[in-house]
Amino acid sequence: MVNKEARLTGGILQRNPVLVLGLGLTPALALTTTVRDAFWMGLITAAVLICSNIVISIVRKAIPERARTVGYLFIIIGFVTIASLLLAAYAPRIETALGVFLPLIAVNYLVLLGADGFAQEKGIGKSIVDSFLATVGFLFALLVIGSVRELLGSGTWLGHAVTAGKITPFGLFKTAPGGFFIVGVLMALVRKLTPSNSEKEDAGNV
Amino acid sequence: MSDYLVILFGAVFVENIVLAKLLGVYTFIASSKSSKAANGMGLAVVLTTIAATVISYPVQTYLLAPRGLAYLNLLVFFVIVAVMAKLAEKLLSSYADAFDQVPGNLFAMLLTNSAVLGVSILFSSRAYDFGQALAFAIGAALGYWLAIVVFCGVRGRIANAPIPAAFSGMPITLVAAALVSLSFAGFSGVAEGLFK
Repeated sequence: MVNKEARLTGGILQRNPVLVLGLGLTPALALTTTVRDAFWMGLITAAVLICSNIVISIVRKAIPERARTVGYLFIIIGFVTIASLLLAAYAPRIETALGVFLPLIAVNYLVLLGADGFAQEKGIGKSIVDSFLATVGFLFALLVIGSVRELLGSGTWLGHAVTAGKITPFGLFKTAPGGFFIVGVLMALVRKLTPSNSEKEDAGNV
Repeated sequence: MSDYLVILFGAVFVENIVLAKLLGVYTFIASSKSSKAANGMGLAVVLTTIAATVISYPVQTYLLAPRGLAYLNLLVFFVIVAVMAKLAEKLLSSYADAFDQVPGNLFAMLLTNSAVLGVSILFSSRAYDFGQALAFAIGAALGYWLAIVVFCGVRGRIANAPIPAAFSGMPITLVAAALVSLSFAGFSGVAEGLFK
């Protein structure tokens, strides 16, 4: 149990998929202008990753080694399609807000890596736990980035006015350049706070 | 004609697929380490995106949409992109070691590059005709290549600069990307006025 707890905090901070490993940057930059978008993106990605991991861990022996990546992606695309149809039916506003990034969950590197790593050699239970831990870290990162960008860019948090009348919101943080900047600074901050990180694993050092 | 030029120019500069639309950021950062890798990835993205658009536009417009099968768009686009990515990988690998610096497996990098698949999804949601869709795809792909090559030059400068330890690697790369992205934001509103 101690191990599980350590893995949970590790997934949130030391091995955070976005803020340390630099995975899933597209949603982390594009859908973090408001906390609400960030929350839904994180939640839907989590649902897709967990569901597809369950299926992959069941059928993995039937998928030939050569077609592994493509086979996994087909399963993930199935769940992304289910998610978009459900959203279109019950929450069309969220579907519109996520736009092109909803179908693109399918090619989120984090989801594929999760499917590859977690579901491959383990049982169903373990792959659920592992994919849950990874997505908690992803959701956490998106919420942090979203909070900072919404506070600085619009002066609100989840739509409630916070700094109104005290600080003029700086709209640049809602745009693409602001997103790159905030994610870069937050990454440096996480690294400063957790000095034990190895720096070899992020895409910047490939 | 000016219609197509506005879309083409707009897709390269104004709504640059990676610096403004934020698609394919992971590949953009992973492949901009050296100019060989940047050009290899840029060329691969151009080939795959344009070829995939030429195929997926008629499939989507004449096969899927009239039969109410639009929910299969993602699956069909993905299959087309996968085939084109495999072809692009074969084509480029025969042009030898110039591209051997592209990190990882080129096929997987193209397949998980959201810029490539994103172009298909974007044009299908915008009610473009075939010429417009093609202009958009060419612009988006060339914009990706341009962005990755420009950014490669910026990273060359970073490599020789004293960077604080906490910022070295990924963080400073993203901050630099913010500046490059900001410079592309200067193009906003230019495209419509340019081809009047």
